[in-house]
Formats: sequence, C-alpha cells, structure tokens
Amino acid sequence: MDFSYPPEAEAFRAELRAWLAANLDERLRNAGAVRGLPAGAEQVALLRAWTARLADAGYAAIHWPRELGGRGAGLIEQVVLVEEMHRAGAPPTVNPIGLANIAPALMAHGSQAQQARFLRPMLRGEEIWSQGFSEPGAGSDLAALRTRAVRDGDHFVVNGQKTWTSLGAHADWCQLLVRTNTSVPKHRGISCLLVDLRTSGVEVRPIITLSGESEFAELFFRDVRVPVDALLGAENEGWRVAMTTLTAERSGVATLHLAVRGRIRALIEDARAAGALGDPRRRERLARLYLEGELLKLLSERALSGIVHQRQGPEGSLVKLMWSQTEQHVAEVAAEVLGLAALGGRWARARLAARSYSIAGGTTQVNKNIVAERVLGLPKSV
Amino acid sequence: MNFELSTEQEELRANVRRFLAERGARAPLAALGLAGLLVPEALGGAGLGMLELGVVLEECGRALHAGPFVASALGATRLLLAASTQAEQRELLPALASGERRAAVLSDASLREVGGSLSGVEPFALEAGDADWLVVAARAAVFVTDAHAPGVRIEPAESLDPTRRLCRVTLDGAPARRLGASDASAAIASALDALVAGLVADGVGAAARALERALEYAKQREQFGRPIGSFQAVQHLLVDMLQDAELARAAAYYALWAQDAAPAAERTRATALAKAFASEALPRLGAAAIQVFGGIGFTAELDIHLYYRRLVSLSLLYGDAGQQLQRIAEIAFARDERD
Repeated sequence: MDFSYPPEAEAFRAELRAWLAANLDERLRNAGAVRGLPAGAEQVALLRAWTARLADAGYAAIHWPRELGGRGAGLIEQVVLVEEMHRAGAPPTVNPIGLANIAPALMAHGSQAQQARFLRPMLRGEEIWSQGFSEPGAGSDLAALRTRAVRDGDHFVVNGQKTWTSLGAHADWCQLLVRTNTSVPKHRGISCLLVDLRTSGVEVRPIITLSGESEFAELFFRDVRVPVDALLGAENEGWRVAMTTLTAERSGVATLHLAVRGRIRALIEDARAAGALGDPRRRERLARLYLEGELLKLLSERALSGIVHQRQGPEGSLVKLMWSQTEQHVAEVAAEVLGLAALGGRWARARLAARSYSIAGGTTQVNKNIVAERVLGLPKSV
Repeated sequence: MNFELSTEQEELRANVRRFLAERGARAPLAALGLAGLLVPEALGGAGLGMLELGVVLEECGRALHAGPFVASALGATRLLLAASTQAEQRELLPALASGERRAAVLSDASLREVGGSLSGVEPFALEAGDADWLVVAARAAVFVTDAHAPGVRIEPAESLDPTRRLCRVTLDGAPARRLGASDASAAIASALDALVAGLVADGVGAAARALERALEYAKQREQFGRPIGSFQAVQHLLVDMLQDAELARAAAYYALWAQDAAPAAERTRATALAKAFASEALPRLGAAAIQVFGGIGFTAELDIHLYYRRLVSLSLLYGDAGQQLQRIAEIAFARDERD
C-alpha cells in the first residue's frame, strides 16, 4: 500500500502547475460554470478561447493519443490533471462531453474521414458537441428510444424529440441515437448519427431546471435530412457505439470528490464566520459531513487503485451513489448549520441544484438495481 | 497510487482463513506464530506491521473468533513497543511473541497510580480474563502488573457481545511497575490508535461475512414464488450494506496503513475517520443482515445475530461515533487544515 503517485505523474504535475501559473488569469478563474458546463454566450466565448489554449499546449484531452493532439496519458495522469485544474481554480473546457465521451466513440467506431473531419475542431473548442440520447419516453430505459431515421437515397430523414441534452443551447454538433429498425428487439434497431445542429428542421429549446438554470435543452427534429456518411459505426449498431460512450464516462469518477470536498471546506469556513463552530450540534453535523467527504475520497482512491492494478472491485459502481448522497448532504447541512442564512444565496441555489445529482446519469434507484444485479449477482428484479 | 494488499498479505489472509475454518472460533492463533506478528524478529516475533495484523483481524472478524488474541498481540504489544525501554522489551516481548504469556491492556480514564500501586476500573477490558499481565496506561505513564496479583479483580463483564471476551477489571492497590521513564502520552496515543484500527479491521471482516450470509439467503429463500433477492426493496437494502462495507474497508485499510507509515497527525485523523464511520455504519449493516433473514433472523437458532452483537460492541468500545466525531471536528476545523 502506497498512496504516492509515480515520479512521471509528479513530473507532469510540476509541468502543468507551472503552465497554469503562466496561463490562467483572474477572468478565467471567475468563469465558473454550472456543474462543468457553460451557461451564457459570453462564458462560451471565454471557454472556447481557453480550450484552444489548452489544446495548443496539449492539455485539452490528455487521454487522447499524441498524434491526435493528446498525450496518450494513463489514468493517474488524468487524475493529476483534474487535481491541478481544481487546485488552480481553472475552468473546464468548453467541450467536456465531446472530449471525454464522444471522442472515444469516434476513435473506436469512426471512419478515417470522420476522425479527420471532427476531432481537431472538437479538441480546440471550435465545434461544441452534445449528445442526443434521452427522450421523453426513454430515460432510464434508454434503448426504448423512438426518434426515427428513415433512409431516403443517400440521406436519413430524422423525426423525433430528444431531451436533457447537456450544452444543447450552445452545441454545434450532436451525437444522436435514432431508431433505424422497428422490427427487431429494441437494442438492435438503433443507429448513431453525427448531426449538424444547424441543419434545417432542427429546433433547440432550453430547459429551465427547477433551480432556474438552463444547462440542458430539448432538441426537436422535423424531417431533418442527414447524409448517410454521418453514420457513426454500422447501421443498427448504435447501441454498441453508445456503450463505448457511456463506459468512457466512468473514468471521471475518481475525481468527483474534489469539488464536493471543496464545497465542504467552504461550508466549514462559512460556519466559522457565522460563529456556528462552537455549537455542539452544528459542530457534530459538520464533522459528519467532513467524514462523508473523506470517505468518498478513500472510496474513489480504492476504485482508482483497483483499475490501475487490475483488481475487479465493487468500488467504482458505488462512487456515483456515494457522491450524489454527499453532494445533497452538503446543501442540507448548510441549512442545518447556517439556518436562515441558507434560505437565500449560494447555499439556497446549491440546495435546489443538488436534486439533480440523484437523477442525472442514472437515478439512484436504477444504479442500485444495476449494482444489485452486476456486483451482488442478485436475480433480475421485477 | 496503490491501495492494494500485497501478494504476501493476501497469502497471509488465505492461511489464516483456512486455519480458522479448520479450527473454529477458538482456534489458537499463537500456533500459527501470529502472537508475535508485530514483535521485532530480534525479540522472537515476525517483525511485520499493522497491515498484516489488520488482515489477520479481518479474518478473526469474519470467523467471529473468540480470542484471546487482539489484546495481547496488538494492544499490549504495541503499547510495550511504544512506551518501554529496550531492556524491558527484551524481558517482556519474547514471551508474548511465543504465546507463552498473554497480556491485556487497560486505559480507562479512572486508572491512577499512587505510590507504586494502581487503582481504577476498566468496565470492558478485552480478553483480560486470559491475561498473565496487565499493561496499564494511567495518565501519561505505562505500568505493568501481574494479572493474578493481590488488588486485581477480573470478572466477566455483562455485555451484549459474547463473541469477545470482555471483562470488568477492578484495580484496588495493585502493585505497579512503571515502564519506560519519560512522558508516555504520545506512546499511549499511538498504541490506542493502532488498537482501534485493528478493531475496525475486525469489524470489516464481520460485516463482510454478514453481508455474504444475507446475500446467500436472499438468493435462495423464496416467497411469492421467487427469490426474495429479486425484489427491489431487498436488493436496495443489500446495496446499502455493500456501500457501508466497502466504505468501512477503504477507511480501515487507510487507518492500518497510517499506523506505521504516516506522521502522528495523519494517523490520528485516519483512525478517527475509520472508527467514526465503523461505529455508525457497521451496526446498521448488522441490523440489515438480520432484516434480510426476516423471522428466522430473530431466532437464537440462527447465528446471524452474533455479527450484529460484535458490530454493536465495536461501535461502543474505544470511543463511540460521537466521541470520534469530536476528534474529527478538532482536526477538520483547525484553521491550518489543508486537504
């Protein structure tokens, strides 16, 4: 057991820290985004420029191969990058979904022409990418999706509706899951298309969340003509492509604790300023929250270590569950500790926004079903 | 970033598990040479560390091992190593390492030494009834006394946990021999942290086994024509148990590692985190195991309640959740706390 990072990773940390010190200004530090996604047009412009600067230095997507502009970095270096970005208060790239989730699918299933066309502008933030996965009738049961694509010569004609598309309001392109065959079992009739969102017939409507933010959008497709060479992977093989995408999403779990522990420290400071640390009940409540944050960190480190050392453990599946609970507890404990001061301001916003953590990316209940079946080996539930 | 046990540590686990399976809850661990696991090789021990001892204790927890083991091989040994002189160690530790003698450790706040004799009460002393010597932390000093000396009364403690050998020890003018010469506060703190980390490892083992037993039952027991483990309500209960078990395991391993490898401040923090969480979560896990079994789980016939008993006693011994949270608050709310 040894919690230190290998010397190469520490050398990378030092290099990155120096680069950040020279390249990160106050304006960027304050470009905070809603859960890692930009919200307004001004912020998008700022983050596009930041992404280009990161890309030119080779830091925008270090997990990509070198020849495509990454560093071929392993998991530990990716963790170091997130740690240092977090430490420096750097904003996220403008293209988090493209770089982390869509690019792996493009690299695994895309044609040479598609990779040559899309990867570079994605890396530099010149084209922002979104995913059209969920639908009003296909949330937890994603494979039930009904947006149709019908072949018409050298085009598909797309009709349907997508929802909960992150970055939808700012995206230029969309990785879209469509149904291309209705006469086979649901997983086998899905295809994946790369769609230019400025195509005629596409309508984007922002979703206003219960906390008043608009980080998601609905996408409507009415007779949208998409060229057949926009297929990513083979026709009706879209489910496999989508799974590549969703698997790539998991490498981010090892660093989820950074932001939530930062919020816990901020709450401790607010409690100190409010003179609440002397009260035994509030003190214990905060200590329990601190404990939760540290446990999340330990669980994440166990998960990370398991991946690095090829040990099949259950930790990775549990991190998302634990993380969402902890995030929600931060906002609740803020009210227990600060009282009326949490009825307005940042902790009030956090309280409302926190409801999404147990819904987005798989609800807590669906995740528990999955852990029950895949980790505990229990029979499929009714 | 290596949060894994080594091949040797996993081999040790396999050996201990096999031995306990063959010999049962009373298996004499000294016969495997484990009594001296922490004792340096020069004094007849194995010269291993807290991670190895933690692996052994995890297996003891799984098997509901009745001891005596932990008080002597961990508590007393660690306190002697930290607080006594080399000459005293040469005199006392070889006998503990071989298993020829056993010691228990007392640390209740009521313990006092006046003019060479000890007084005070330890209401729940681990395995004191099996001890030849009592190693006593009283204020900032460490003493040793013969367990059969006049002024020492050891009787079984009335507790809900029959799986550990808990005794009520009353010292009333027991002859005390002071060990070491200087202030032993730091030595006592480090030895008690190690004992706590070891007890948490024991709890992790007991919890893991209780979860396995509940899981096996949920897959096999049928109601309404299907295994109860196919009902989401039962599944989610088991997933919550898994989450508690894995968090406790991560915290326990970190605390075990910190005993030998981290500075005192990090060691204390790691120990308090592990014990606070184990105290809150593991009794909850033990209760959930009974719940999965339903009616049969509430009978004396089935032994699932023994895990619950062991996890409840773990939660209360050596600082319950509330006391650990106070320690955590002191550490976490200090102004210079960074990451």
